[in-house]
Amino acid sequence: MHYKTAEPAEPARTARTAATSVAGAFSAALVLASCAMLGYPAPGASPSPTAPAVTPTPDPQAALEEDVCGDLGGSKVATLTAAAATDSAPALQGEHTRNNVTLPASASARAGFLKLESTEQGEWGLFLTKNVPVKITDATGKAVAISGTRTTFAKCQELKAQHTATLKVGVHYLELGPTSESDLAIVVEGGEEEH
Amino acid sequence: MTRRAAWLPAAGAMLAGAGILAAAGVLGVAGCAWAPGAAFSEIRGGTLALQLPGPAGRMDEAGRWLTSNGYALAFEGGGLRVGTVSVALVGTAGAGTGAGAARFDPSRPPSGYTLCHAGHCHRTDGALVPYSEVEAELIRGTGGAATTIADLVWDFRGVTISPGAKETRPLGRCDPDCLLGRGTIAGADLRLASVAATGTVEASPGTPPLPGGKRTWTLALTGLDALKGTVVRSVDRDAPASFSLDGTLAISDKLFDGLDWAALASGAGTIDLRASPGAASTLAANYAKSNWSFELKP
Repeated sequence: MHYKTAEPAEPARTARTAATSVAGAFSAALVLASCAMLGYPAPGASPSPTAPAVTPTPDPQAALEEDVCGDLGGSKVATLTAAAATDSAPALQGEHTRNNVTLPASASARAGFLKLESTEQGEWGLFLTKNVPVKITDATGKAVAISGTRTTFAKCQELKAQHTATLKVGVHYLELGPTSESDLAIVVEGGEEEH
Repeated sequence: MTRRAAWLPAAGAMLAGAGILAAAGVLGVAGCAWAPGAAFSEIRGGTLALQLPGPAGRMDEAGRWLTSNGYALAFEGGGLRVGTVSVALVGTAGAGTGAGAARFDPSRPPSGYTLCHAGHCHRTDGALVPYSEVEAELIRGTGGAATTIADLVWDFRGVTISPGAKETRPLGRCDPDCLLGRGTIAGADLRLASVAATGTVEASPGTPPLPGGKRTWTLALTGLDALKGTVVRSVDRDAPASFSLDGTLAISDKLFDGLDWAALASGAGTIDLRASPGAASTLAANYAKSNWSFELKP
């Protein structure tokens, strides 16, 4: 013979169910409120569409500026005086060297020529501590276009100008000025040099 | 009290002695205690490729080799000749010198370096050194214990390396042998016995002509510094049974840059680059820019 357990009395059951429901609703409200305060999406909500990227992408310009700043403060230093004509122009040193350049008097201002011996066909960067006019020619005197110029830098206070140009292998000349500046420093970076 | 036979202690001593002698005899016959052990691993072979790359812009339409300072060279006989090439496996012997021993923290550059970022460290002389090389250097420098474990030798005598071409040879021999004992390999350094060539030189358009116009020259470089190669391998009972070393030496296309041909050509006759100390040191410094890359594969 099966005995059936007596059902609880209807009013008590309703009260318990009601109490459970209220408690549940109150807890849910608490969770939602705290989630909102902490800025997390509510449980069950879809992820925020504007979540930030996990890893920042590397910034080659920033690394380049840091490296050039290091070269400007480094122990490899060359001292040059720009020449009045290309045939006596001294050669800029590459390989992380700070070139301290003096510009001689020219008419009522200062100007001069420097030689750049390109060891690799490709994109070269000229980094200057004063923003003086720059023109590039190849060994035969043909103009070489400067493809880009930058004058603001986030990572190097001393830098005032960065010029980019595509050079062939061989001799090139930089004509600096006319300018009122009598001296500046130059770092040259080109070819496969890493940053 | 029980009386023991007086001869028992003496007999015991004799038996013990005989036992020791017998044991020594067994060991001696088996040779275990006296013969040298086998190595954990060995070099089973490898190929070495030599090339003189002629990247874009380095050769003119006539096939002449251009220099950074405005000269054009032509090679007689097709290119460069090298003799033998040896790669020295460098490392430390013994246990406890495993690959993890010299990890460094890029946020605290090791001594001799100023800044580490983007996979390289800045050395105080301005050079940019990859992290793997910094680590290998730390292992090599540990207590000055790094030695040459073996020299691997490739024979390239009679081979001419033309600009743009590649010449390959299999491993010839190892000195003293190809066995690898317990320890850590920290590098593989390549040495060329010599670099020789003959050819002509003349000024490129825009450069003042040389006395005599086109001049002949001859080159024989010896005593070049080794090109260091980075690898870190532990050799112990878990090491692979053998390794193959396969690599490529790309001689720098900047080899002939920066030579003062106007000064070198001031005398008469063939220009002997060996005879000018300035030329020799420029050539050696340019050669040091060559690229030596390799794999040490199980």
